[in-house]
Amino acid sequence: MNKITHRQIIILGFAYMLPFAINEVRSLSAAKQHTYITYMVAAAIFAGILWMLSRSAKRFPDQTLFESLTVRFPIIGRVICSLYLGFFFYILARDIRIMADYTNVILLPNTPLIYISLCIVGTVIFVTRGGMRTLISLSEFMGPLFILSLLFMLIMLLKVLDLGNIMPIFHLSIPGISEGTWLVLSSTGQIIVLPFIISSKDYRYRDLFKSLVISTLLIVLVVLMLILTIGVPVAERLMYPSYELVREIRIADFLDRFDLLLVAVWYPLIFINMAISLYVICYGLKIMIPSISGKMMAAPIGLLSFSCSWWFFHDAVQMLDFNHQWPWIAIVFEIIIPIGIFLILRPRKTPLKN
Amino acid sequence: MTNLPLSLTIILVIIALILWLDWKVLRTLPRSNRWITCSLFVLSLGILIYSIKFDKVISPTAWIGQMIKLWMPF
Repeated sequence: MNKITHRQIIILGFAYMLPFAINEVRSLSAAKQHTYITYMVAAAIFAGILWMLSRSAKRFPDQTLFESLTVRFPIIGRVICSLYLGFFFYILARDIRIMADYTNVILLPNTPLIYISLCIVGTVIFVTRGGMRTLISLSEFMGPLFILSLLFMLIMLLKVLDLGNIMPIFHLSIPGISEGTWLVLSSTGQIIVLPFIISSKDYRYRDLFKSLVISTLLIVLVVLMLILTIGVPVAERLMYPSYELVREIRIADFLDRFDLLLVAVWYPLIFINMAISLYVICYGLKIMIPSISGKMMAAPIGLLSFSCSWWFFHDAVQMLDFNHQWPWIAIVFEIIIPIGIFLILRPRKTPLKN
Repeated sequence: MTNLPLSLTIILVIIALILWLDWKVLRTLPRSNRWITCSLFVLSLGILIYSIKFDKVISPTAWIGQMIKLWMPF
């Protein structure tokens, strides 16, 4: 594979953190008009975690974290890797179910969920089989386009923004913000995927940090637009508040379904996001069992995640309910284990003899 | 309600299609690849049948969620 540029890493991180975070703004019901603060607090926490992970990765030049873990600690390293594979597998299965529900509600109300899920999984498998180069090329194309469409949204919504919706702005509710931060920790923390799949020689901490900051700023932008346009009381009761926000936009008389245009830009980014999850699983499996071909595993693992997306959740309500408990598990993988990796992952003082 | 026989038929066709397309490459790879691929397909089918056919499905997230609820800070 050719060398990955710093800009591509920033966009890859943005593609893995942003699309689902803006679809369901989880912390609105807890943090109310201060929801944007919750994302900033979560970003501050993960700036530290990313620093630890990048320092751990730099101790093993030319290796990803998966590789350095399995090389340095053949047994414990493989156990940690397999735990991470399970973690990303859950994320993939959950995302498939979220997208199937979303497509069923918004775009294809008469198509059964199972067929929508199959179409999504099929696309994700094909993207993943292209490897890292395909993921990077796609995100490099769709990422900036999506940022531009968000900025265009801001311009179009300027005339309907109501500053009264964000008042009282200085009346901070610390318990509400804490609960909101708790809810968004898992989605912000997904950015830790980068050191696991990209070789340490290809990135600097600055790139990971920039990716985190850009993604957080864009989420804050969407949240602010949401609060200022729709208002907290309505937005917190909506299943897909960002979609309703886009529907507020009318461009004169000739484009009254701007939402479809934005979905057309956002949807491919969702596929890229899920393909990154599937790629991580296949790549991790290949590192753990070298005789396995990662590319050939994309279809079986994709199909397994499709089945599990049905098994894991009874319905969308149960999935939303589990989002409140999920941060406990996410914190273990996104905060506690990375701190452990930082503490234990040091190169051997005396290299192993062959 | 999802139609089980139709869904199963479609999934079986998809699995057959994947195997047909990939078999040339799979044959050249170590045997573990074929075993893992086939096992994962069988596991997927089993899970899908279980989650569609039975009315009372034990979902892992509901079960784990019940356990974690005891330690929820909020």
